Amino acid sequence: MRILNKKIRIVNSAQVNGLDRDVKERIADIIGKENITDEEIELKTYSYDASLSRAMPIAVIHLNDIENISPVVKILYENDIPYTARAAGTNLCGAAVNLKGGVILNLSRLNKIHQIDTDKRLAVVEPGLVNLKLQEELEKFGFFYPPDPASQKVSTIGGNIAQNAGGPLCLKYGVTANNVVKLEVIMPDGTEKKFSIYDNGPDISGLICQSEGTLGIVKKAWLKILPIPKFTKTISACFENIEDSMNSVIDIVKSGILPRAVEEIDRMSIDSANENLKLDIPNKTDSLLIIELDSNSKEEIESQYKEIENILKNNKALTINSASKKEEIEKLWKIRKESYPALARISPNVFVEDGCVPRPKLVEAVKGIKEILNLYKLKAGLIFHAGDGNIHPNIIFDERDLEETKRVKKAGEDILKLCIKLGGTISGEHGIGVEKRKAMNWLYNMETLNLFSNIKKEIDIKNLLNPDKKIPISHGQIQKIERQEIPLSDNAKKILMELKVRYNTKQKTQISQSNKEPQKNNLQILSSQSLNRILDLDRDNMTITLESGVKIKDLKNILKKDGFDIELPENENDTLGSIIATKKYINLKDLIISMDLSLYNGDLIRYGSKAIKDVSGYNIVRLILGSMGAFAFILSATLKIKSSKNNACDKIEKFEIKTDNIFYDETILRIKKAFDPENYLNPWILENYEQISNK
Amino acid sequence: MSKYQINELYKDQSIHLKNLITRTGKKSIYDAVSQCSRCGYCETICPTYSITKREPISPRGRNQIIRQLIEGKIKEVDKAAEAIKTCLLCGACEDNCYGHVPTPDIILEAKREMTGHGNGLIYNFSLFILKRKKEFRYFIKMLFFLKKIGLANLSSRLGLYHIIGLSSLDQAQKKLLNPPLKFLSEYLENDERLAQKEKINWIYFSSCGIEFIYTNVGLSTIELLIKIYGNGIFMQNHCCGLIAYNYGKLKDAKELALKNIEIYENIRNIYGDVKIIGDCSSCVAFLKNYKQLFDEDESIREKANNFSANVLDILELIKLEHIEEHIDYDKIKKENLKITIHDSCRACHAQGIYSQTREALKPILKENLIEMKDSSNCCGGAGAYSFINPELSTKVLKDKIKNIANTQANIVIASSTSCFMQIQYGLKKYYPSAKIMHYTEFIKNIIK
Repeated sequence: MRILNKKIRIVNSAQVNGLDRDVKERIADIIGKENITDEEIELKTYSYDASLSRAMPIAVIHLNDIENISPVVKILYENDIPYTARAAGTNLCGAAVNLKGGVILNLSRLNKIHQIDTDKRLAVVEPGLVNLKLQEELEKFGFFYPPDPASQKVSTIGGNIAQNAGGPLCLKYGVTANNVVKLEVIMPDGTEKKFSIYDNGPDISGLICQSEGTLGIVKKAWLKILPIPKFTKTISACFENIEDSMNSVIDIVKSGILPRAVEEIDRMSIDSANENLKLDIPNKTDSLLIIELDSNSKEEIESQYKEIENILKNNKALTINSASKKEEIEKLWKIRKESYPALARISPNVFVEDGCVPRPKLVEAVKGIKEILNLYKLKAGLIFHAGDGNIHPNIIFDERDLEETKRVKKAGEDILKLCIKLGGTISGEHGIGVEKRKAMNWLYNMETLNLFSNIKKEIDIKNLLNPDKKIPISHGQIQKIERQEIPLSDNAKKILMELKVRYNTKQKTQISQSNKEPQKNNLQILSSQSLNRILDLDRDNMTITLESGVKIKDLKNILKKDGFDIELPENENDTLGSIIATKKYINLKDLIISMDLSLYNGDLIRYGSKAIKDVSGYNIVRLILGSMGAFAFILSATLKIKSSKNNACDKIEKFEIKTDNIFYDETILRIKKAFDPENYLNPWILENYEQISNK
Repeated sequence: MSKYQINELYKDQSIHLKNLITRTGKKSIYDAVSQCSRCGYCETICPTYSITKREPISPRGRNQIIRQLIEGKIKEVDKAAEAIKTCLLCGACEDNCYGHVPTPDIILEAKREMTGHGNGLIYNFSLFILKRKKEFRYFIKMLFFLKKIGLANLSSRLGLYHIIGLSSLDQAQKKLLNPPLKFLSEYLENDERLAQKEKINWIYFSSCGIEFIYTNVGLSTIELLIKIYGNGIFMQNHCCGLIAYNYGKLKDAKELALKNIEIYENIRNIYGDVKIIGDCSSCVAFLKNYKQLFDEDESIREKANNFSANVLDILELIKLEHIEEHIDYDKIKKENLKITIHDSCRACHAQGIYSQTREALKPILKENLIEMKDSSNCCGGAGAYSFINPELSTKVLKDKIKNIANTQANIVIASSTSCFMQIQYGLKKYYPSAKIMHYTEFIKNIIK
């Protein structure tokens, strides 16, 4: 009985007939013939990752030296051969398989640490380095690298960068993109480039993070490292219902305490994990919270603990346990760490869904997810990174059961739709790959999807590097889903309309903070002065959404009246739009979580939401930072705020762009082309743009 | 039982185990291999993947290959041999796997499908010998004699082993240092202290490696057993069958196992259930696995289960309170012993023995016990692996020796013959300032 043959989904595999012999020999000359293979067994083992997607490559290339990436890629590019870079292959959405029957570049041998500089707080590493191996080396110096994805034992820095990986600690320390300082990248045609957050202009290194290996291959990465805090304290609390535990999380974050991790697990996960652990957990428990604090001051950690204890008590915690010693801390974490493995023992497959909603919406999300699971008669344990609203339903099933697998996929889709409806997103940390391409249509409007695909087209002209990932192939046919989101103001609509009119009448625009700025080259000024409203202050989510014309000092005043603050300097006279466009403060990259933009032709681009984490699209925020108004008109943005009890904002790193040389690199020129192909916005920034872009 | 029946899975059902007893219940091979959800968390722990960084040489890769072989989706079936042959069977992946996919057992079943498996000249010859222990003694002695007088080296240098196609034997003889000329059972059979008594507390199971090569280990174990645990007897057992199980036919393994079960049943008739103590963790782990071997055989199942239930590794038996009073603390101080423990795979991964040795030794040795990095990583010995895959094995060994050297220990403790041979060879070559000792040898050495 070959009943199984039908069961494996072959994704879109336009198989071509093997690798050309001449190409194979040329590559073998560079890397040795033992390192390029097209034998069936090898190909089969590179046809999958940790997701359900499969696609056979035509060859596998094992690289032994980072210097060989570029020459090999050049040969592939010359011969129009699609290729995908891959290391540990632990991707959960199919990002590490090659859909076009191309070549897999195995980077996992490129695992050297080039430098650990504790003075400059930097580690320079190769892409195949396993995350945990880096942590182990750093520990010897008393340092750590914050991103700690669950897969850190196997997943590599290259993969972490491609997916913009998070982990429990990202609540306090940020995701991968917040911890990458500089990248050396092999572009799709094989040329080598260096990008850094300090570049004079838009930040391409931020774009490479989260691009799922579709825009470039990381050759070397400069990562931010931090000294290990002297003290840690872990608290675990049981609650009778999820509302109480979620309210605790909201109260904690509001109180001004920023724990290094806030993790929550539900009854089903507790039960399956506790079958082996036999921990004393009250029967009534429906939700268990683990909170971890870290600090260099014992007093601070103890006072924070007391405050948290009160918050937990006020929210009717059934039990509260705490630990400060390593062994005891490990004991408290056990139930969380055991919850996924326990499910993996019950059933052959565990489908790990990944959605993210604004923190206050988590309760609603959980209720909705439980209804969906009931509807499809499925069982799942729910695990959340509750601090940032990232939810992981772990659905158990057997992939050999076609009907059950179908139900799992349907349920997964419904869960994503639910996250979107609640104002959230389809991926907090796992990415889009193949499996969530369809869901991209539900999340983004057509104009935004077009922008994504234009960026891909401009950077990878031949569509060879990890093709057909992340962006839906045929967008425009599937409807966007109605989402709880902040509506555009009338003035923002007017700007969109004005730009549309100017485009239709072929008038170029000078974007400015006010109407008083001197006019350049007789261009028509378009000012953000009218965009002066605070659109939303979400106290539970700790975010503020404001229009680009608001002055920072006014913003600070408004926040302070409410007991909040934002990590930006006092007495800043510039507007939000202006400091974004000039990348005036480096930490803006960590503060901004969403942006509304108008393109040169009045198209509305909505990127991000009030969900703290979102790895779905290309990182537009990073491109707009430092774009000097030459990419798009900034309408509004959502930023993270903090409690005014926190330390004053005195160490904010200032940056200055030299306006004469922003488009120093061809890549940035290409991005300009994706945003504003006819140079309508702030055209003087690149006076000879037309000449170059026509080349 | 599985919903899925794939009939073309086995050409010959009789050469396979029908069901695998896994940590998540009894499963068909197909169900067991399908438990792998490709998360990849096994990869960095696998010594062969860590070296090659190639997916087919990883636990996940191997499971996927075998699964696709079962599903009939691989055309170049012969090419799967590399993935299967290079597995150390160390079991680190199974330990580390969330779903506890029994990769080593799955690999073994795949090996049984390989062309010529269990029909090789060396295998059949060794089996012939193993089944006839007395003859084996003479054969081995002859080989050892040749080695002692230097002829083995000569023939090796002349390439004779290669000419007759026995390159793995050549590898094996190179790793044999100081072979004995009198075997363990020759001592034990004449030891009056091991004569039958009214009541016994233990039965000693002698493993082939200890019997023929590391006689001193066996003698140390016996000394310790008598000193601390009182009366006991020598089982006069046969080979446990592990070699046949791993490199040959199930039928042969069963035959040997059955003989041992019968010997135990006879002893049981006289004394009732007594713990069977072994000092080679590989054999002990396999003895504990007899229940798997006879799972489908109703007439033997119960006896096999009972046999396995009574097997104990000497590592599990020795507790701090048993030895504490006998320890010669001055000696430890005077000789400046620095000890590190290598956890043999078949002890830590197959039997879950890790903390026991630390609990017994740490309070005695204190800071003189220095933990090495990745102590539970395989040394590359892995039975006959080092003879069959010398290149990969050497790389695994070098990693191990590096970790040993980093502790600056002068004594490495191990508990399996194969680790013994491998690490002894590695130390001599790369780090001669340390020597390897068996757990019992070491303890015997530090008691008064």
